[in-house]
Amino acid sequence: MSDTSLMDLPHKILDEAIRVGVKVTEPDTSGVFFHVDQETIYSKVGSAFQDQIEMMDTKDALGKYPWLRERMWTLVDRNKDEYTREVSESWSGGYFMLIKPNAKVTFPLQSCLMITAEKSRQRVHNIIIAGEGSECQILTTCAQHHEANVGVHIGVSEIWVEDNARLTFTMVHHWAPETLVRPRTGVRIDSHAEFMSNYVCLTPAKDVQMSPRATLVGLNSKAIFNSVLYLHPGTVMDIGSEAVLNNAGDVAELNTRAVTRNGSHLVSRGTIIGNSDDCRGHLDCRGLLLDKESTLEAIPILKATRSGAELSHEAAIGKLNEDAITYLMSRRLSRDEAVGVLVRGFMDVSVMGLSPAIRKEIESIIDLVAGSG
Amino acid sequence: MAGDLEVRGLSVKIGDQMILKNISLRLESGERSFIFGPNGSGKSTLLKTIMGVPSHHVEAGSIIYGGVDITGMDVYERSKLGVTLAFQQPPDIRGVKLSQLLKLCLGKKRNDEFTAEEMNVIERFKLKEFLDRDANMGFSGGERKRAEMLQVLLLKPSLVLLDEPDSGVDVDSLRLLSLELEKYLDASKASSLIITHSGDILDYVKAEKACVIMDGMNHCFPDPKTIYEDIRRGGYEHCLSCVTRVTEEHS
Repeated sequence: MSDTSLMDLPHKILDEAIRVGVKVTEPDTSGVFFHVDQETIYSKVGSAFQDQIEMMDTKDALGKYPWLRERMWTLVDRNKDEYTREVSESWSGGYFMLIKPNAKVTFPLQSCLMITAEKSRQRVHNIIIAGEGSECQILTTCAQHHEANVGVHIGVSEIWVEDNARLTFTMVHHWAPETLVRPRTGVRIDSHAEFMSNYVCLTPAKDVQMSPRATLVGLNSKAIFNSVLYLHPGTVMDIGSEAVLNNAGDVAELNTRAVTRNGSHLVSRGTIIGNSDDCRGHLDCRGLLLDKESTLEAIPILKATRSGAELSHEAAIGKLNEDAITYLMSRRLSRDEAVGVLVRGFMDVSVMGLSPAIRKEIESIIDLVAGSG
Repeated sequence: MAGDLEVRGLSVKIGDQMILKNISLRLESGERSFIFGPNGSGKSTLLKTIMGVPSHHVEAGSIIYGGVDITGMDVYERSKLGVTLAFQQPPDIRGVKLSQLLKLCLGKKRNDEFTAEEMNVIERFKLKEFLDRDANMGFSGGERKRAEMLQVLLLKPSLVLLDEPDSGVDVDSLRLLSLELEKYLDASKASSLIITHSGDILDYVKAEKACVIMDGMNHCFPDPKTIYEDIRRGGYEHCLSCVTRVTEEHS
């Protein structure tokens, strides 16, 4: 596999990957990983990053690093639900990414998990270890090939962010109208470490349910969860995130921007648990409901077990401002164009503290769906 | 599309309240008129109704522009005919940067760049540092007025509706806005209806006419400066008595 060139991959896969925005050229990435249906077909770290990153299929990593067996299933309970049990019984691999201590990975590490076969049931187990003092951005695109309509994706991901490390994990979903999606993610964040999760789902899916959980086990660590969701006809989503703050100086920020339309339904959850006297958490959920057939429910949960924990939330659900639509129409935009500009504006990610590269990446994906205006 | 504006017997309701009562006015192509009137008299309602703001319901009368009855058209259709309004209180446009709004006015896409000439205009309006901010959000009164005027001029309209462009604007900004407006109106031969409360803009912009709107009704005359001096001296009540006299003299 190490001798394979990306250009040797089947056109069907490569073309689809490019179509959904996967970066496949080395100057844009520090490494590329492809897992298609039940098999890892490509895994290569860029030449400039060979001494900083190890990347391979998780099953290969288990052979190379016996200690990994002890770590797996410690951040996600294998008996959490039927989906975790299914993966623990039968899985086809997944990505293993080891960012070495103090590595500074300046280009995103790209992974692509793709379903191409109709009615395929993809079960992966991903592992990311960001070593002490490392800095890395991971961009993972999960997609169903446009020729396949029905599929199931169950992805267990366990992520360690060790002392002083900074990891940005951006997950972009491109499913099909009949895909059932069940990610199960656990994150452990050590002292002075920072984990940022950006979840982007702007294309159709049948049913997505997930609630990644970050446990901050060290002092002064930080967890940020950003979600940008744009639902399509009939899509049902239950998307949450959880942060457990256990030590002094721990911080959590949960931000969601969600648009429901055309009979789609979203439950947006967020949970922050403050178990320390000097921790802070803020949850911000904004939802836009574009028609009467859709629903949007925001469920923020704040739980403090220490009096010094400072936890807050803002949740607002509403419709587009008619005055703003009229205003834009007076600037020679049709009503549809004005609505498009405002919806695009609602999904503005500039407030989410993204790095310029990731911000540009997410904005280009939003442009693909909502138009560049 | 340049052309005459004719408002005929216009009565307008907002909610349950009749705000304009049988207003008629005529503005010939290329003509300018100031609109005076006390607070709540219906000045803004008139301009918004000409623009087609949907909460302003036309109960009677019609609006003809360039020979076309635009009374039933929506805001977009009117804007395509060249009608544009600088709002007195533009709404906050969350998530849409001022730069994007200006590009929309110029017919550009979001990722297009401004030309050097366009940047020059933006700098003249002292708006360069606002380009990356959400449009109108947290803008001061003067900043909003500058942004509104700039958008309106970039659209190159044939009928310019300006709702109090001189309120809350410092002297330097007012001079700038007025000069840019005057330059545009002179070059384009566009028509303009300009509401002014303070009258400050009269020092910079010439107009052939003035209308006084009181209690939802209007009275239009030549010579805006004389009308405005009357209002300043004796208030709108005094103005109304003159209006009645002049109207009788003319009838």
